[in-house]
Amino acid sequence: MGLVAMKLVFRIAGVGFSLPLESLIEVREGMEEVGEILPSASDCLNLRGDSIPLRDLRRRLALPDFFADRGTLKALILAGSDGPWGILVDRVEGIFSLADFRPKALPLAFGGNESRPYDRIELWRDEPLVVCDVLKLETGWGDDD
Amino acid sequence: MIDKVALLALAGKVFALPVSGIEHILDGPRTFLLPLMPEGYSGVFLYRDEVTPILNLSRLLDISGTPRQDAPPLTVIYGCDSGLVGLPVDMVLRVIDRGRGSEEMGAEGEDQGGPRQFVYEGARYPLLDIEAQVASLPR
Repeated sequence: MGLVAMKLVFRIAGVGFSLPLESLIEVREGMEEVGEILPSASDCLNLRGDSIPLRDLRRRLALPDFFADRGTLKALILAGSDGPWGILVDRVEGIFSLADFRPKALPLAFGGNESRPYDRIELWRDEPLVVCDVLKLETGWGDDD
Repeated sequence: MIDKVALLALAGKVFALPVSGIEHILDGPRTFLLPLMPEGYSGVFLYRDEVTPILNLSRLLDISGTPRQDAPPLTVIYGCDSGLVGLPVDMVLRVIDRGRGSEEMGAEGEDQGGPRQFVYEGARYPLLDIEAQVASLPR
């Protein structure tokens, strides 16, 4: 089965996210080598000799700081529109077939908030996951860089 | 059709809800957080395969103090123009014919838009207008 038919499921602060595999460059384990990371700090990762930005998705989504011990953190290196960039995640659940996901509408009561960095959710094992759209995340990241 | 009111309890507060708006009452269910939910909502759950928001009743019912660790055991599924919402409750006390009680405006000095009171057997219970509450929340 090709990569386009698979998704990665990961968690930040217990909230589940799905990411199309074509948006993923690498999963990097054991992020303790990154050093003293403050939840709100911008940092960099080394990717094959190049320094790429590490962005704080946790703060962007107003999620609690560092749900997991720093030693169990992983970094997802994403294929951005202007090059790769990374996010720290608490847990990677695995890679799953597209058939395991069912798109669902956000509740009407939540409205159409253009500033919210996601606008789609989908069900995976009866759990709503935030659909991670790398391009939408990049839009309006603003001062975090 | 006889108009009825349900008396429900949450964190020691008893409130009234028109039965006509209640679609279902569930045990549980499993709830989830979504990032950046609009103010006034505390999570979502699955109902009939749709992601349904949970209304946070703490402010409406003036429930203060440390948020509880355990989720309320029941969820009332309530119908609004914008769709169904879940209302967390600890228990359903009773269902009463609306005509057996009376209704009053909120006490003088309360903020405009505060809940009406359902008066039954000498006790006053906030009669929640869920439709108005949902409509007042930011999106």
